[in-house]
Amino acid sequence: MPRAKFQTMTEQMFYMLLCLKNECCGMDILDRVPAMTGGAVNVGSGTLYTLLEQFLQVGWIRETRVEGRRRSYILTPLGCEALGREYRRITAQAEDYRRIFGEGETK
Amino acid sequence: MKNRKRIIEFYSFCDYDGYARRFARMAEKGWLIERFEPFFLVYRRIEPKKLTFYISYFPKASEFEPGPGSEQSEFIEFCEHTGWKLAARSAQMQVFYNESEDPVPIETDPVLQVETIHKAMKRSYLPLHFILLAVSVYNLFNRIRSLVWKPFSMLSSNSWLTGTMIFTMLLAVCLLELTSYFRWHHRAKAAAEERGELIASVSRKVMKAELALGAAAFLAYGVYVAHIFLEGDWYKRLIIVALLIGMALGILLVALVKQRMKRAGLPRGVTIAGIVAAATVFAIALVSSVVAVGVRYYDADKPSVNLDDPPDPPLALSDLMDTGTGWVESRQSSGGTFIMSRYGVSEYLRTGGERWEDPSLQYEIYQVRLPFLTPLVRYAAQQYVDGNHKVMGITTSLYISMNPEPWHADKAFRRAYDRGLLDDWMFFYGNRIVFLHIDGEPTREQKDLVAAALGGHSFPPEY
Repeated sequence: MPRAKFQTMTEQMFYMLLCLKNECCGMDILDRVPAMTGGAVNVGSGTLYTLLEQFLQVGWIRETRVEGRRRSYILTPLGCEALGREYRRITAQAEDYRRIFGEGETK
Repeated sequence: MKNRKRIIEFYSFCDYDGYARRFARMAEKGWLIERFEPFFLVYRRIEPKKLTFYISYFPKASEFEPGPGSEQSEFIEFCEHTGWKLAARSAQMQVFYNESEDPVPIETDPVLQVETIHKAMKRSYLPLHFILLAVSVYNLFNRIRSLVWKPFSMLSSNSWLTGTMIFTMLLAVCLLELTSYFRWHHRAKAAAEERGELIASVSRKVMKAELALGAAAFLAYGVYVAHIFLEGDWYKRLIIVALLIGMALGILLVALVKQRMKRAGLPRGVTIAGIVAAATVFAIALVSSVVAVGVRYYDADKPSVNLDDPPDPPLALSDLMDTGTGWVESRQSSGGTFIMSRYGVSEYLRTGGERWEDPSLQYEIYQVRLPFLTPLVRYAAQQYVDGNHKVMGITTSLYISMNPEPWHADKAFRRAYDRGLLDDWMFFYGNRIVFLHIDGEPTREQKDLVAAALGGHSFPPEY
């Protein structure tokens, strides 16, 4: 099934938005995402650039500062809401899992 | 030892895998891609090493910008931060390399990657191919229309045949390129959305097929140029030399203007305007020069046959009538293709009176050179006869069927109009189509002479 744009987030989108809770620039995100996930999630530089543009377009983030070519961004209330929605979706999935397999099961 | 190497590479603009593999192979041999030039790629010498290459597309970039804009520079900085160094760029294409063994790819989301590539292709690659497709379709449409209207002139014209072949190749190349791209895009989009993977770029086989078509077109043009040189008169040679030199100079001029304006740091719009202006001025100057030389030196009365001393025509005005004290002005022309040869004669008996009243004899003989095409050409000729009376819906004149027996022909037709018959005839003689203009009603003897001279089995002087 094709992924409806921004209806569900990829891991990369999710962690990028998490990083943007505090003001940061693109290069900070490139470092923080693998650090935050123990290297499990990496964002490619091209993907990062495209997603930052798309997040700006839908109003999930806004530009805060421009220093030379370095632009900094921060999450907007709309972005916060989208992130919360994604968190609830993932949590609901985890809850369903626990209901079926019980706490601590990793089958 | 040379530190730079220039190589002509044949890869489709959207063949990211093909380019990446090629650059990696070259790096292993000690050559790193440095820049794209209009006709070749420049490599610089490095220590041979294993490098990972990645072809990325930046949709907002332009071929005419002096350098990467601020947004593209930011993109390049992101890439450098993850170990990807920019080696070269051309239009929307960017070539990055990484010295790490297992670097994080520049694109980690296949859905976004396919979207980005498609956006970049919509910027110049797709419009360019659609424009070329439209040009070739329009040109071929006009050529086919000419073929229907004047099948013999076209099939015996080398320029028509060469042009048709070249535009057919261009059409085929555009169709191949566009269909392979859209097929790739459709499959890549589905694979990215359904399986989260990026499929391989367009197949190299497509480029190989395009190269074969290009080589065929190049060869056809080469044969045409050689033919003009061997058989054409000096005026045709002059035109072909002027156009060949002109085209080469024009391409160099455009490349030079683009390079200079980009180096001067001028904005994209100014560079495009400069290139268009330079190309327009140059094209006007070239065409004007050829026309001026032609007007100054071309002698319309000079026989166009490529012999200084043209042979006697198979049928002359003096064979049909007593020319008395007048003098005969005679012109011959010949030509043809591997499909059909053409031989034409025009003779006027100049008597010193009104020129338009002078008796004349004109004929053109078209002979099919490939025997298996004779039925097809005769069918085309019949279509020509049947449809000749209407040009763009307006009734002009028509050919009516006549008794071929007195002319010893397979078929005979005579041109007519709404008030009567004209002095123009058309005959089918075996693999020949003969057009004849003879003043008045031909006598039996004249018909016999025409049949023997124009319908006989030995074709008039070989050219």
